[in-house]
Amino acid sequence: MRRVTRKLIRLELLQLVRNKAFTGLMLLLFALTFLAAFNTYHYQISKKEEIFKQREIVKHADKQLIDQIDSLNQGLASYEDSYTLPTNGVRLTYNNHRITWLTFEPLSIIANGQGDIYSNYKKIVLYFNESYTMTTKELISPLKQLFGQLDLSFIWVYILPLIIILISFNVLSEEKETGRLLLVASQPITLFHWVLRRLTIRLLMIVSCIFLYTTASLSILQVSLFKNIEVFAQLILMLILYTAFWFSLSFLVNLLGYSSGKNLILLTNTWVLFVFVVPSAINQIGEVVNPVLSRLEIINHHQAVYNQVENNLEEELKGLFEIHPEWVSDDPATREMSNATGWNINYLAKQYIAQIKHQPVSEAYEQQIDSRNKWLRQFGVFSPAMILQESLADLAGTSTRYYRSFLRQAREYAQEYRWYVFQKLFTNHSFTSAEVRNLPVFKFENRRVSSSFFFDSMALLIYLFTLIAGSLLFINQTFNYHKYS
Amino acid sequence: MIIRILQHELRRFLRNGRASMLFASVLMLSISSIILSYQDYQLTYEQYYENVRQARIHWETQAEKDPHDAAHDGTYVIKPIHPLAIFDKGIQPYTGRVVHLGAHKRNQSTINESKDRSGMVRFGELTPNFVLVYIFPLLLIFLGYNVFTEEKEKQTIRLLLVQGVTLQQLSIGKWLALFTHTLSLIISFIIAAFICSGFIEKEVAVHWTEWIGLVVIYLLYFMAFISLIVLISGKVKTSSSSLSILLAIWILVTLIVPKVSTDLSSTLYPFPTLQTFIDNITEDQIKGLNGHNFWNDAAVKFQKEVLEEYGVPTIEELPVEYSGLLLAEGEKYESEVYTKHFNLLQEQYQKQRNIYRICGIFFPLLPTRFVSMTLARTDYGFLWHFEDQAERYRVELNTALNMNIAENAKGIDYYKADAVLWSSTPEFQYQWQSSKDLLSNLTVDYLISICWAFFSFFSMLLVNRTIKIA
Repeated sequence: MRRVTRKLIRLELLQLVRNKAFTGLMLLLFALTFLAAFNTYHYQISKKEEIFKQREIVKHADKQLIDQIDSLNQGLASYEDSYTLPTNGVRLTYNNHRITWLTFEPLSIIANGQGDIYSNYKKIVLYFNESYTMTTKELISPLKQLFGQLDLSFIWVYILPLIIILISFNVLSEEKETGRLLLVASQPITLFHWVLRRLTIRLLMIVSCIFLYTTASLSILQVSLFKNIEVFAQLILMLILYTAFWFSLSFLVNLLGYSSGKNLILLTNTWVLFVFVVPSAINQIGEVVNPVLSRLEIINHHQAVYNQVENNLEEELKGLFEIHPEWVSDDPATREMSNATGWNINYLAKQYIAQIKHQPVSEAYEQQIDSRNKWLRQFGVFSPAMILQESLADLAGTSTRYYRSFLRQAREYAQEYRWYVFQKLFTNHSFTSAEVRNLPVFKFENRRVSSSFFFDSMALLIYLFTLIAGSLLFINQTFNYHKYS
Repeated sequence: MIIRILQHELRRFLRNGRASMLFASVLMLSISSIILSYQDYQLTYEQYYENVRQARIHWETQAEKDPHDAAHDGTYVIKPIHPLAIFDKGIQPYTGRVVHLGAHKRNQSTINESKDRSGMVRFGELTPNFVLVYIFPLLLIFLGYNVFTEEKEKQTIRLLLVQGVTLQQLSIGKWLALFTHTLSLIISFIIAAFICSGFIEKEVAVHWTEWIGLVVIYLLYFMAFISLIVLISGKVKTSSSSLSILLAIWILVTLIVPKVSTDLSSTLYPFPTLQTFIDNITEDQIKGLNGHNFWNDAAVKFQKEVLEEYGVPTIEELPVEYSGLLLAEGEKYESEVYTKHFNLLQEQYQKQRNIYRICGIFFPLLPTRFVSMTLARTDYGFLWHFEDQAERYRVELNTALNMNIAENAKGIDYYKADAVLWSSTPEFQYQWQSSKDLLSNLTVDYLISICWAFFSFFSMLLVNRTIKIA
């Protein structure tokens, strides 16, 4: 028995190597993997350069301000107007913004995710209206976002199942159609085990190719796999589960005993179902089940609040200073609208009050968005393709959850920064170079985005076991050799 | 004879339960997509209408303030939606819906729908365009992959040839059978669309040429696919080979080519980074007028011109508030700089668009997609058109505000305007591009699609003249 198995495996391998279609598909997978990896690498390099440039701009502006403060203190420079003094908060307000940025995860190259929709940095300014500007808007053609970019995630989620279908749809039916099945039947092996072994060999070959191509492409692009072995292992495991799912599906379809054409149609339809129909239906149902206000209404609400604040500015300012008594100053310059310091304080205060009053509505809106996304994530289990795509984006740190967490952290940082500066600015404090040097700095904490690996891998495992159980059940109840002969 | 073949093929289709099931499923998907898109359109339209009204109310009820402060606080305009957007959402989810109009600065549109949605939206949405572009060609492949191979496998092709049928007649008959399925789906689409268009509220009516334009482009796309299907089925030996090859073509055309052509176009003609774009604008702006800078060369020159025009030696003796004039003139200059740089960006996009056109010569999906988006006003061209008009309105609005300062603030320490001024400013009215202009811009795409349809049809006839029968 063992000898027969060994012989069959050897023959199968030989047949696969000689099969031009199989070799062609493996080469196609190789080419697409490298093309996609290089494409994402170059795209992300440009994003990294942009972040670097933005940070340098901030550093340069801070250095300039610090130098000017030092020169002023040493009596080397003089200024005509008080508001142009480098120590005046007006300078810090308009010339020295802050920058928050989302760092790239070690395996970011595997999925562009939402990276072409969100920017990886956000400018923080003291004068603000966050209803209009969620993130900095990069110059990118929306066609790029519509059609998407060629990345590894696309190859694995969309193309890999099709390659699997094309190399496995006819493992049994072809033998039947060519009459070779009788030869197989003469071997001391059951048809079930014979199909299973053939598909297992194909599965192992595909998995080996994926592992090899991925390792090679990532290593060439200087991704340190050893340092990030845990994430890399998670990636490989997810890919193995996804690949095994499609092979199991193909195995089950093969056992149904239809013709090659019918098998192919059935498998392709399942692919269309999981990759197109179910995701788009879930997206649409998610919209209906979790209705969210339009962001246009959020803008309008902010505008209405801003008008109210402006119309009752004195009362509103009184309220603000009751909450923040440390921001109150006796300096008349802080109240005088005709000078730049007073005008600036007044302007920042009304923007700030409007934002605080608007915050409950905007927060509620953000929570609605998060709930809808959570709902979509949970119902994504109805499609293995959705599970894998989201899982890859999470591993790459380019999923919506990552970007939204970044924006949330950026908002928190903005609050911290404003409180630090406003206390000094509202009291017309003269900024020292040490204070500019020690302005709060942003740091993204990726720990705040919980890992979805366990949930995703379990979901794929359930799919896999369901198919295996289905196949076994089918074998016990209806499978018989005569159906195929 | 061709008619008899067509009748036979249609009968074969009706008897085939699997094919009927597939066709019925796609029809159901199509109807669902139209209903869902119709609801989506209605919601977007209502939001648009209500929020435009609200924006104007907020503008008119703002507090008394310096008109230039009002210009800085600004207002916003909302991108309208065209009724044909029901068919094709295009780039709409990836572009902003609102342009904030403030002082000194041209903003890009913001409030991007896709930012508020999970990454799952990248799988696509069930819209009519999605069904027509992706699903329907797949249905045609399933219906037609074995039109010839089955005859070859069952040897019935010999019987047909013995009866005097030529291979070309056979090809045309089978082509017509698949085309009849296409027509039936298109007709059901048109009926559903007409029903919907009767119910929807709309900003602008759909011109009949736009309806025809849409139907024609999709028919050409399907014709190309049908010819390929019949050609491949005639050329290969087995049904499974035929299906495999056709599926590979479908994947290439619908999934890979759009991505590759996008990467190619943006690699060959990249957009500058935002920072470079801003730096270029700033470089030009510092050379000219800035409403808040009284001392640069351009401001000094402008001051001289104003004084000459009014025939007075100093600003103090002017009958108007000089700062208002400077702000108004500065705004015009700044807008010219922005227009120049945005036009450069548009030129770059046109170059990218040409790459898509070149790729479209080899793959028919691209011209179809672009024509469909353009007619639905969900393409990049529509976004530019809207943003350009918003920019012209911004300058008009800011000029009105700044000139109000010039005319009324002379000698007043801290001048404030009130609701009378806010209400007197013009409202933004988007002027839709005429269908004639749109269609004339699409001539190249239609030509490519027509060539594709005819070239593939005649290739089919030519290749299928020499079918090998085992």
